[in-house]
Amino acid sequence: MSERHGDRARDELMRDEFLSDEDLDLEDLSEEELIAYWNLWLEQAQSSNDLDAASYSHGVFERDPAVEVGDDSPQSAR
Amino acid sequence: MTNPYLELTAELNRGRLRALISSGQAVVLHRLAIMSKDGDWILREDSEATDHAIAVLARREARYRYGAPLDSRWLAGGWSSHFEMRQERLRLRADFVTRPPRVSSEGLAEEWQAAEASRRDVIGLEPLAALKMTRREKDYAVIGELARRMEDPRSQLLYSRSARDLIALAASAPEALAESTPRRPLLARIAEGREALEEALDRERRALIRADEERLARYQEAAEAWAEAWREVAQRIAGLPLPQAHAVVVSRAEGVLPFAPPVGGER
Repeated sequence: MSERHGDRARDELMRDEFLSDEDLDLEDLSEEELIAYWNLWLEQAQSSNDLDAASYSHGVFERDPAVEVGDDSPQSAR
Repeated sequence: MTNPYLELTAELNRGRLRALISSGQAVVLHRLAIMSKDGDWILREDSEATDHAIAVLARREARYRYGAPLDSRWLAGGWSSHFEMRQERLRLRADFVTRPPRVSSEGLAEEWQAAEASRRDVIGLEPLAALKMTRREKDYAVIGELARRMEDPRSQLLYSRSARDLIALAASAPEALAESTPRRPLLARIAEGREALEEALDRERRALIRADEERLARYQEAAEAWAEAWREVAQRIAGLPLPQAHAVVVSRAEGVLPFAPPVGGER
């Protein structure tokens, strides 16, 4: 088999992977299972709340200037 | 069983479709991945929608985070508004825009029409892919999978991040390729083969990341005086019910936070 032919055959078998199989398994979950998994994920993700108290995931702002790193005052993100 | 962000969306949309779930939670609802713990919505740009959102958030004892007032004058300039609340053990965040980046006004109007017609409250695949063109590398993996969920080959050609997928699409849908190439110059490289296309995809991603960084830098610069004022504003609104806090934020932002950042080199 020529090198070029081998490349083409491999390309036909492979596909570019972007996310893990575990992520993509969401498609096979029932609505109820998806919500249960989603809620569990949200609960587990709370462990990083202190680390991202000042930061933003969306929008045009980057950091809350009223929140110091390690600030646990009431005005900082609760 | 329900989810806190779905409950909040239902409240935001009671009586009228006002808010579309966007970004990370939309990625969950499109069943791709769970990657974000914060909620993000595209809101209708009118005072009924913003007043309703403030009332919903007030019932949940949400507080303002640093950001623009939830007021159409600022939202129309592309600013975002940010809130935070507690629900049992969860810290919930609610972020709002009315002008999502990289979605044209025509595209946004079509999205609202399509959402009304289908009675869905989550953003569609194409605008979601456009707004995921951020400065974060991980978002391009999401776009790659979103493109695979799109039904129209023209949409796939516009958003795919896979050289292999693009080559296969070009072979199976040559008319769609011809139609889409003016909108995405990279598609003209498909005929050069996988390696050239992969290089073009990398270059395109880096250009998109830089463009998003530049966009955000314009907003940061325009918000400098507001950032300086915010510590005092945050002290004034601490403990206030949200409607009163909202009035303070609006009144303090007027004249400090421009309704829109300057365009280009404008000062």
